Amino acid sequence: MPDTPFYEVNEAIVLSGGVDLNTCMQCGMCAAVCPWREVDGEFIVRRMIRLGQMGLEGNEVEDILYGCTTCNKCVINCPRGVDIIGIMRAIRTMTAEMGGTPDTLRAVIGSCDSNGNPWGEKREKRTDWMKGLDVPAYTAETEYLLSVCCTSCYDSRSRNIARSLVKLLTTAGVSFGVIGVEENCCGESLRKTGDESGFMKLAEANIGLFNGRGVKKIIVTSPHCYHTYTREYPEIGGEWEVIHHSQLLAQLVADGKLKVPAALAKKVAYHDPCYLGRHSEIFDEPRAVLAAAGVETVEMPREKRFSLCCGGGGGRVWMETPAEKRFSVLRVNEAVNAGAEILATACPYCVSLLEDSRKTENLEDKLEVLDLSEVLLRSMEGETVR
Amino acid sequence: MTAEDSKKKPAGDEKVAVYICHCGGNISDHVDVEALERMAAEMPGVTVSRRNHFMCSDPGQNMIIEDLKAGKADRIVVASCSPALHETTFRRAAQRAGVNPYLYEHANIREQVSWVHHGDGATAKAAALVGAAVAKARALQPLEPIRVEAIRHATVIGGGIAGLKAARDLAIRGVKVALVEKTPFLGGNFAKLDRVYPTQEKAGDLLTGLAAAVLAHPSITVLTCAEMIASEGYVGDFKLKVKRQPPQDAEDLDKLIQLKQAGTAKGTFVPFVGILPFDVPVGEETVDLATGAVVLATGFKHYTPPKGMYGYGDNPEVITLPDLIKLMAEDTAGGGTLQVNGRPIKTMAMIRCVGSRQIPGIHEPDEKGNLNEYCSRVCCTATLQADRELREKYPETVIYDFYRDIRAYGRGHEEYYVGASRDGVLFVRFEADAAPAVARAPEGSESPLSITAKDTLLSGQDLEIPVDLVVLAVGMVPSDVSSIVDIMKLPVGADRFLLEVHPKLRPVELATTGILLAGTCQAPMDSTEAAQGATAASVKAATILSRGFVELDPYVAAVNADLCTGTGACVETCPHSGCITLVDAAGGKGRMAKVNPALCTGCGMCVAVCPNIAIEVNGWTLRQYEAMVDAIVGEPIVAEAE
Ligand code: SF4
Ligand code: SF4
Repeated sequence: MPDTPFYEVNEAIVLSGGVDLNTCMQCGMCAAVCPWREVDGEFIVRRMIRLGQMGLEGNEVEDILYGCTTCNKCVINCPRGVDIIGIMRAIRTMTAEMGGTPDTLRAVIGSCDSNGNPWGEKREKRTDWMKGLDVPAYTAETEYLLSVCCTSCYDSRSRNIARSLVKLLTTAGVSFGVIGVEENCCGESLRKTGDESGFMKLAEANIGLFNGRGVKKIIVTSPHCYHTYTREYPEIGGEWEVIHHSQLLAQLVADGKLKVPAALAKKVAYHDPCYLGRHSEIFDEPRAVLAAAGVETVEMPREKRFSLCCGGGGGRVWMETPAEKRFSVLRVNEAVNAGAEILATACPYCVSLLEDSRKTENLEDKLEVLDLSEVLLRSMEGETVR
Repeated sequence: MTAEDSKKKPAGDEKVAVYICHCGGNISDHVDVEALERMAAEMPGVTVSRRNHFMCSDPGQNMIIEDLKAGKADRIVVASCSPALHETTFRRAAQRAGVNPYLYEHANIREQVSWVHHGDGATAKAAALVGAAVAKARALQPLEPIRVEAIRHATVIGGGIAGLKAARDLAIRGVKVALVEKTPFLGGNFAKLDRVYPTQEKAGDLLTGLAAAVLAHPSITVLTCAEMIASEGYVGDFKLKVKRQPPQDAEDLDKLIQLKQAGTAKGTFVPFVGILPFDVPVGEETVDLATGAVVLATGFKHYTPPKGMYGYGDNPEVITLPDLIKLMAEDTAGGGTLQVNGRPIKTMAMIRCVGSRQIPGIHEPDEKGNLNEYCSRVCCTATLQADRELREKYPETVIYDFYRDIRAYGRGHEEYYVGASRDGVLFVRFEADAAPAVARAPEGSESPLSITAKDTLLSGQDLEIPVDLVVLAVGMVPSDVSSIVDIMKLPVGADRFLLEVHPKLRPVELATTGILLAGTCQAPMDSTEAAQGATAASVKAATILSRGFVELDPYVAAVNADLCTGTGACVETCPHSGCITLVDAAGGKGRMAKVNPALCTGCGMCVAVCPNIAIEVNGWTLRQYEAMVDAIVGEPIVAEAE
């Protein structure tokens, strides 16, 4: 049976924010670089756009519409400069309005709504990561608000990132503090899954909270928070000086505020997180931090703008992906093949997914996955001296 | 013109200088030029053998001039690239040294040797070619170019954008012009455009300015309702007969009535008609034109789809792009939705490549067996332009644009493509062998037509789209110029457009010197390119006519009075009428052949049929050919190793 295109759907996608929908000329340059092509995923970005243009069915499938990790690789490769993520988001938003959001994501959305975090954990436990550490509270006199990603608040592995960072900031004498249980998830995942109202609720709460406390500068531990605070909050009244911890650490090392007495004698590969690298174009500072740690860096075949997504963006971190289709599996193997002993990165999602694949691939003896703050701290603590 | 003495053997004291070019490695990377230089030095008659990195450079040319001036040689051979590039350069060098420029022979050792052969074989072939050239050079005799008086007058055939532009550009360069237009109107197909891409100017505004300049110019005579019916003569001195007669074409008569009813003043532009510069003739008359050059600007016709193609002719809702352009231009109401004959067009389709890019085996040839395999080039951007204008004027009309490829190749064209995309036009790509099908929609449907197609961008997904209007982006076909082609013996390409000598080296010239091409008679092109072609043709024509005479290469047939017995075999064979005639021989010795060098193209057909070898082509005599063949089949010259 032939299908009849439905132009109203096309118009609706454009109105929902997919403004570049029709600018796409279907050349396929996007799909050519999409990581899903490496694992033969069902999601083909060009096709998703085509179905949207023609208003045809076929996108509603969970593995298609919710396949995109918003890694931005296609966007920087598109000759027409199409805001592909905007189109994807518009289609997800429309799907959400019709009640088509997948169940796994509904749980996340529900938790954000009731707890202010996607982890299904109680708001009161948001500060549990600080146990045993002396973390200053944010006051009117504090220079930086330390805004810790929900993942590093609740996930046991990830907490170490926040803890390492606190130790480094304290050593460097940085004036920082945490607000704590009143903070909410930045909402990045919600927006990407199409829950626009859920995102707005979180964003408005955070903006109100931060502005109410007179926040001027924020340290973020996740590139996703970085992106949301710098690109999405300003339109709705949240404008602060936002710095990712990799940038701040590089600065502290350069200013001599963090002294690294010894080198960490390890071979380290750096994995550029999509939202820090391709989205925010922060490539040099993380490398400067590794250089300061004195490690021997090795290069994986794809880096910087061509870095391979870990698979966790765009809400994917909350969804199940079969092992043979995980980008993170490819990535840990790339690191090992490059001769790395440590795969360093700067994003809680990347750490979680790469850690996971390191285990499923039985690479625990060969490879460690660490955040930059952890690498730097280890080297400062003189763990392995060369 | 006297003949070279074909029987005359070289006296034996000819001194040939050979120059071998490295072409900056192009040649010397594959041909052992040092060995070649030594071999050439051994060839009979060679007194000088030299090499240079670039023979065409000043030092290279100076080398030639110095040797000739010093008397080291009296004729030259240059072994280098194709003669098409630098033959004239080296002839001029000889001339500057005071040596007859026709005592020159060229050996092509780049295109014919180093670009296609490698190793010892390459050097051996280069030596053979140089040997042949040397042998021919020894047999060359001085020649003089043929000089023909040139009338400073040009005739432009066709009064569309290209013809008008050519006429004006010629007049500006001081050439008198006759502009011969078949219809009563100036403007041609250009008058049937509303706005032109990429500037979006009104075609009528451009045409009004150009036609006014043409009509007001004292050196230009405009003849409407006029057709060339006879032509003889040659560059510098063509004699044309032009017939003027009352219009007969139904479309023209229709337009004249329209104009009369509207009371339009003469000389005023009327959209989709053109400009009527003056009254049409009431009776027939013939005008004789003595003219030095002819610029053909005979234009094109829109392809007319046969009945049934994409539902054309069977459904009033299927129209062509020119129809749509007119329809839109005449609709002053606007509104959210395009209306055609009172019907709102909610959804419409464009179909591209109609009558263009036809593929044997897939597309049906027309009743004459023709298939238009070429791309018409203008329909893509013109359709994009229409897409944009539609979406802007009628934002509620949805457009599906069916294409095989989008060829938005020109400056500013891609912007139309991006713009149309952004405006929300839906592009649907199809394969030539799976073109969309247009049919009447089933009873009770909201839209009269239904299109079925495969979306190649969705792995061939079948689509069915109800539409209210289908617009066929028809391509270009050449105007019917068969009578001009016959009269002037013009070369026509496989695509039936007139064929230039060389697309890059002589892009607006025909093989017959003095006949030039302007605009779409040559190939599908848009009005920008047509105007460029017109300017190029007019500059070429003006250059030819500017000196008052034309010099032609002396490679023409010449008769040996001693041998000719007046058989007339050559007269029958010659493809150029009037070129060879039989005249009374001197001293009452009967009849003999006489060649008009201005008409001769040096094709040599006469040489082949003369039983007495009494006619030969200067510069290419049989004796010279023999010398070359002897050199090639003779013992190869072996150079001694250093
Ligand atoms: S690269 Fe851009 S234009 Fe090409 S198919 Fe993808 S989105 Fe469309
Ligand atoms: S210009 Fe476009 S529509 Fe016209 S023949 Fe060429 S490809 Fe087809």
